[in-house]
Amino acid sequence: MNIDVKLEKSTNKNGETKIIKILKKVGDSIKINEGIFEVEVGKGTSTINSKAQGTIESINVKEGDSVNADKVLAQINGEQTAKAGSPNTTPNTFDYFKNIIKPVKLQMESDITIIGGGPGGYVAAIQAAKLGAKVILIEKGKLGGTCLNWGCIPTKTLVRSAQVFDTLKKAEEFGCYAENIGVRMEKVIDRKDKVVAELVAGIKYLMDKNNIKVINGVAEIVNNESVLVKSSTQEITIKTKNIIIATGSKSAVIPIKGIENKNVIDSSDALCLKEVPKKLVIVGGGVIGMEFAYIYASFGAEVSVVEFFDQCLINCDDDICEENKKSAAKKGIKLYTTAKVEEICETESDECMVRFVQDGKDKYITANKVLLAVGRTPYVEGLGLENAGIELNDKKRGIKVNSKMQTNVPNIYAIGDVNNVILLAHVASHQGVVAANNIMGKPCEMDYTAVPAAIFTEPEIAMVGIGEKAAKLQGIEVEVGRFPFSANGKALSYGESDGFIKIIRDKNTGRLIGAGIVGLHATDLIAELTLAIKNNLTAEAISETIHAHPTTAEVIHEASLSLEGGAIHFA
Amino acid sequence: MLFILHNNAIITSIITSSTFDPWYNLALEEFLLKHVRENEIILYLWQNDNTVVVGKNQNCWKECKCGELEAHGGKLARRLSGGGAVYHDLGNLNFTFVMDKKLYNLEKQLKVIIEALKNIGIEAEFSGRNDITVNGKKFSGNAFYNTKNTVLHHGTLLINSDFSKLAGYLQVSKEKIQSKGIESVQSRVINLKEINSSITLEEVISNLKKTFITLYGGNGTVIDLNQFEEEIKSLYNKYSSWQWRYGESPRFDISFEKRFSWGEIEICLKCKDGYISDSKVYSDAMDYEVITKISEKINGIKFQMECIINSIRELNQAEIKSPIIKDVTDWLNEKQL
Repeated sequence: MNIDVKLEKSTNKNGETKIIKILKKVGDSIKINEGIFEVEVGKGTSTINSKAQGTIESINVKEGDSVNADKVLAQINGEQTAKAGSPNTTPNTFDYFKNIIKPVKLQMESDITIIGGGPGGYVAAIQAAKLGAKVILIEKGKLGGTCLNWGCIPTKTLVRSAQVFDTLKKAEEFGCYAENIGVRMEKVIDRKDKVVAELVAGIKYLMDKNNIKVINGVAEIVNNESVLVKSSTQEITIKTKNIIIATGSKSAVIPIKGIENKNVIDSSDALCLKEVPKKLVIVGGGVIGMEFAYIYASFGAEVSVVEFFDQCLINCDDDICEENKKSAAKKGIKLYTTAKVEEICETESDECMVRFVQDGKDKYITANKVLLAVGRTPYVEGLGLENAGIELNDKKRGIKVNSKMQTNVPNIYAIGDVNNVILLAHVASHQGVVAANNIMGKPCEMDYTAVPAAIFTEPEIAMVGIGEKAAKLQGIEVEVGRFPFSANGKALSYGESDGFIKIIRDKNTGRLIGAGIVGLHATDLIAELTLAIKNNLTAEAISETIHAHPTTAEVIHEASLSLEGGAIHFA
Repeated sequence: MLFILHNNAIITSIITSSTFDPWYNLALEEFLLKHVRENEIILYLWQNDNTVVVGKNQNCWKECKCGELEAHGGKLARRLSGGGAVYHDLGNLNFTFVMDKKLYNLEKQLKVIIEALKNIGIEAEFSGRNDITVNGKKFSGNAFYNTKNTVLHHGTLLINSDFSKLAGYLQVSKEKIQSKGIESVQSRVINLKEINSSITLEEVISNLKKTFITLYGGNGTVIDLNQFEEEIKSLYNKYSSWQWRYGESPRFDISFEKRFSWGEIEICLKCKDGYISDSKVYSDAMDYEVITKISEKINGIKFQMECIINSIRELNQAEIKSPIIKDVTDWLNEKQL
């Protein structure tokens, strides 16, 4: 591949750049940061260093020539390494010879170009590479995407810090004593950053091991067979046989007056707060909003959640919402439902005043921070969908895909949040595998009958398949087997006996179609039920399986027994 | 906020050279450039006596009367930065800012100079060609050198310089030289003494130091150089070497011609890195063999008159006895390059 060496447009108005010495000959090998030319402009001298390694293919100037930024000074046959492309860590005000080399233009080829390195994109990349494809993965931020850097993982490290603090607070109940307990947010955030950094490094390693070329930059689809990637140092045109769009989503913004207030934050900001706000108002009682509500309530914030719908966690069944309401109340979290936020004002004391309408009345809450958690929206800006004629779905939110994850353009696929089907990291990953398989000649389709969801409130909530609400809507007659955590030995010994499990069976077919768990380890327990539903297992199959004692998994056993005629340990 | 934190963390250092030897002063300057720390800016003040300093990419033979300068005990020096040739004597003060690239801010550096002079009653301004002027006349030329992480910005300050010498040494050579390098540009210059007759060197120095600390903060720690003598010495060897001062001239062509009783001779040389990379000697003399031998003899040697003459003389001692050789060597000997 030939890489052009050029000057960057000089900010110096004092004239043209003069080539003084040529330090290399055609055919010489050259390393990154090795000098190619000595130049002078406006009484300043410097050396133009190579940003690539390879051999000098051509030198197009002579010593003494005056050149401008458009001139291709030389061409290097070789490659730029990732190191050369990594952005400057410190912004500098130096404007004299700043990065004298313009972004070099490169050409690359691949079987599959994946745009976005989140749990959708990077999993698709590995799967495709394992099937023998030459894969290029483009990421504009950090590998791991929102999930790893700004979502699932960082919130879970905060949840864990909150749990540890909660445990300390109630140590006495367990016969333990701790004095002067407290939370230092800096340390909490530090720990989060370390966990994230370790996982990001892990993905990098996986990319290397699978020979996946990762490019740091912003991608634009030029047409259905070519993608342009721009970074500060490179402009790469990739000729590609297939494209997988995995650009994910971004925090949604709703038009509320005063939203630009500096104390209004989004979920990314909420992962980096230097101190615990005394009063936190969360706009939106969905999964993200509720998780932060529990985290910051544990850390000592006075938390209020304002939700537009009549329930928080609106996608959960009513009994689960009720359970959540109880535990929120226990935690001191105030829930305002059927409440519409109208305005956020700044008060004289540098706080915020949130005005919302509930039952036709204006209501006010003051807050030090207002967290906006009103959902996420597919990220398609600047992607160049129109260049390839890629269609959006009927609601014009997200890219339209079929069950093979194919868009209307046959060699372009869209996976993860960007298609707005189900905004969950594990769905994105699975869609990535499906897309990669289809591209590599292994036809398969996405099956959404058993998609588990995990919510890290306290206690945890997990669901899979069809809930009671959805069954009713679909006209499915169901039978439900229940079991409370208060009858589970391990939960009791842990002092975490709130919650219940329910397993839902189609009365007519006898098939398990869904399950919901609120309680200790709910998010881990859901795996067994997901496996059962996906594989058409019956309640009998579960109840005939021996579950270890004493574990929380016994609740699954008991709930299926209750479907079969009655739990053993509950009456 | 970030900017403020940054600014607070700037380390300032001040150093004044105690010698007037340009080679030592330039060696010290490069030494500082190599050792400047992150977030540090150094103000370095120095003076050279009877010196011509050429820009990094200049042809010294072309830009200055080197031979005459050296014959009068002056020194030729080459600096790291670009731009044209300047004459230094004790009526001129040089300032250098050596800094972490992150701190580079040309306006702020110039402000140190301009504010300091304001305190002495001189209203100076920065002109487009990297000069500082007063009443439209230049008293300070500025030039720059960049490495990956550091920058050097330096300039002259004409306080009471001897302009007759300046004009005498900084003359474009009469020889036919075609150089790939940078040519000097003549400017109308002025000594600050003409603006304020009571100005003294000490006053300028103390005001520069004071303004530097006012603008950058820090305490202007004085750097102790004793422990670095070895390193500075090796840099001194570079700056005093013929190879750096002359040999660093960019590739050039030079030709000399002269009519003698035996005919006309024209010597055309291509020079690179201070060495003759190609030579052609043309003549209508009958003895063409000698002419060819001269051409062969000087090919590949150092471009220094002494070497050229000695090489040609060697021919005389060997096989050839010809008046041409004596005539040519005498002629070249008179030339002061």
